[in-house]
Amino acid sequence: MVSLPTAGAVFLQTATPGASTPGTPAGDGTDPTQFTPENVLTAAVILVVAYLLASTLSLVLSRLADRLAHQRFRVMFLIPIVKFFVYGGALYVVLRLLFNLTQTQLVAFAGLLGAALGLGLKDLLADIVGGLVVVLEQPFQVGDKVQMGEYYGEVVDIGVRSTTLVTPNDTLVVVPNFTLFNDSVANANTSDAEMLVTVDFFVDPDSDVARATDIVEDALITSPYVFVADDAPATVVVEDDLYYRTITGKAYVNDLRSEMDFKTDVTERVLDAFDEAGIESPKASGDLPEG
Amino acid sequence: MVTDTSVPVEDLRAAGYGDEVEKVATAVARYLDDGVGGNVAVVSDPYAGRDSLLSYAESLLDDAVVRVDLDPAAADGSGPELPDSDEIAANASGDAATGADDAAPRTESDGDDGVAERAGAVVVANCHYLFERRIDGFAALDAFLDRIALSETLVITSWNRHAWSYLDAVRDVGDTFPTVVEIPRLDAEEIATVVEAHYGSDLPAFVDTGRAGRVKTIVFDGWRVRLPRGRSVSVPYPRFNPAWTASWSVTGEDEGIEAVTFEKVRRVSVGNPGVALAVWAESVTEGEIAPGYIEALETDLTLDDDAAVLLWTVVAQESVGIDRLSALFERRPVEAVIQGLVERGLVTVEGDRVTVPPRALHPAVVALERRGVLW
Repeated sequence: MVSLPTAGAVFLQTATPGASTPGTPAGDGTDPTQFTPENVLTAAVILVVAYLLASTLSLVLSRLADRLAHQRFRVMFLIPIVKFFVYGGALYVVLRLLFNLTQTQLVAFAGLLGAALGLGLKDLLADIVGGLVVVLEQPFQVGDKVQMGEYYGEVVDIGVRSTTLVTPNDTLVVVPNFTLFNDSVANANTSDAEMLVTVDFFVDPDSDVARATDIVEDALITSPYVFVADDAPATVVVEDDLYYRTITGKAYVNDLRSEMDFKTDVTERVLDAFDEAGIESPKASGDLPEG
Repeated sequence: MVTDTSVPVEDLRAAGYGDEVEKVATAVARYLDDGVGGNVAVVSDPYAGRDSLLSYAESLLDDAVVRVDLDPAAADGSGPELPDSDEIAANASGDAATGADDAAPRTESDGDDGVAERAGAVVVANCHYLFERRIDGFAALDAFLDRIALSETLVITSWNRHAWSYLDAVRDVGDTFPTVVEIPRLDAEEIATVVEAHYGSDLPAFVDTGRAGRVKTIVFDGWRVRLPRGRSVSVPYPRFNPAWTASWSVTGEDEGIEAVTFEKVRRVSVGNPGVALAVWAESVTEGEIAPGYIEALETDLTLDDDAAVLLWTVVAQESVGIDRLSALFERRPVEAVIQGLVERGLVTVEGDRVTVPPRALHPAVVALERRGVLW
């Protein structure tokens, strides 16, 4: 934190036209850069401070979000924005410090830098632009459950270059942000804590399907993980097939992190109740009529 | 333990429940004067005084009423039957009739004259016992709702607020009750009225001990950071003092110690009159009371899945036997979870029954809301 005022002082100093200090921008052919050991060190300190600041703010916001639990998404969406502002501000200060640019020069420099990156590092640039899109459009936020490409999981970090998911198998997946441009992204909860979860059961056509439906509905609404409201009802859908009936229970979990717990809880209790009620699973294919 | 019958309805009316008392009185008057039946639901937090409203309705109905007090076993049956005029007459003449099925618990009526000509009103207390949160746990509730839906009699029922919210979401119980009387929370002055009505003029002396956070708004706790070679260092960090938070006056005026005391009672009880009386009784020390004597329980609690589901059941049904909890949650370590909740002061066990004590009600509700279990 100590180095930031220093950077600010340098910025103010270099913004003064015609200043005679070494390294000042001038039209007399002197080197417009300020690659002095002191400035390079200051720039390094600024970047380190920016990294520490961004990490600290992310950590604080994450902890705060965890404490809020059900309302955590109101805080989570700030994390990528804060990181972009911190890193963007640090980059701006470093460029002003090292290259001693006026604002016009800075714009021109950004254009040249962009072109250079576009030619040499277009994938990286696409990732960064994708990161900007994520921040500005917010198709998903930290904490959402999304399907990106072939991966499904909870978003735990939105970075400049990539987005990190944790899959239900607790695997960390880093997905490049340019995936946004090439593939569709499915968001299961759109920044709500509640999320629709479906659980499928298959029963023999000769079983009492009405009773099975009641059991599934009761299991849904009595689960400790369920959330039911007028706009978030628990429903049961029955589909007919030649050799079995599919009973699909649909209900919202009160916290998307309980998705698997909800499925397990409902499945265990429904199967127990099916056993007690004599509701059987579809018969093995060997028993099925030929043709 | 303070029960919700400890506050007479006159005191509740004076304390600010006038509208709620009036709703009950209007429903009874329409029934007595015009023969118009209907279903009334009195909904409140535990200890908040709904039993006083039921008793008030009974007194207005005189003997034209049968009262049914449900207990947890009600979920096993088909709910209480509605009485007919013969049953009312039998009750009024002193031959107490029993419920029509095993699940319908004892019935009682008071007085011995004034039998109504019509079918007779019924007061059903503690309808949150009509269900259990399990597969096939709604049969008694559904049967009872079906029974009263097309009934021409007056049915006055009482419900736990959290059970009601749950049942209204999953079973639409509100559709069966055209009149819903929700008991609101009281402010500090209304709490003072309830306390003064309960204890009369014999109140303890109000003293200012300078404690209870009127001085310390923030306390510093130590965060132990582990270092190499088994060493550690304590890093202080600021934390809100909940006792101060509970005692702080938002008005900013220089209030007397009496007003501050009642404000703190209100904050700890969250405006629940029964809880306020319990907190008051526990806080009076040697004939004195001060903000510093009124302890606020920690509300920053986290619950795991087992604790949350069990605590929800106890909060929503108010008093549940350990054996019922064990049957309800056979896959969960019920005894261990209860022990953990007891150690945190969230529940008490008296005999076989698990209940939420008045002072723990608000912290328990906050913890359950944070888990998303209470809607």
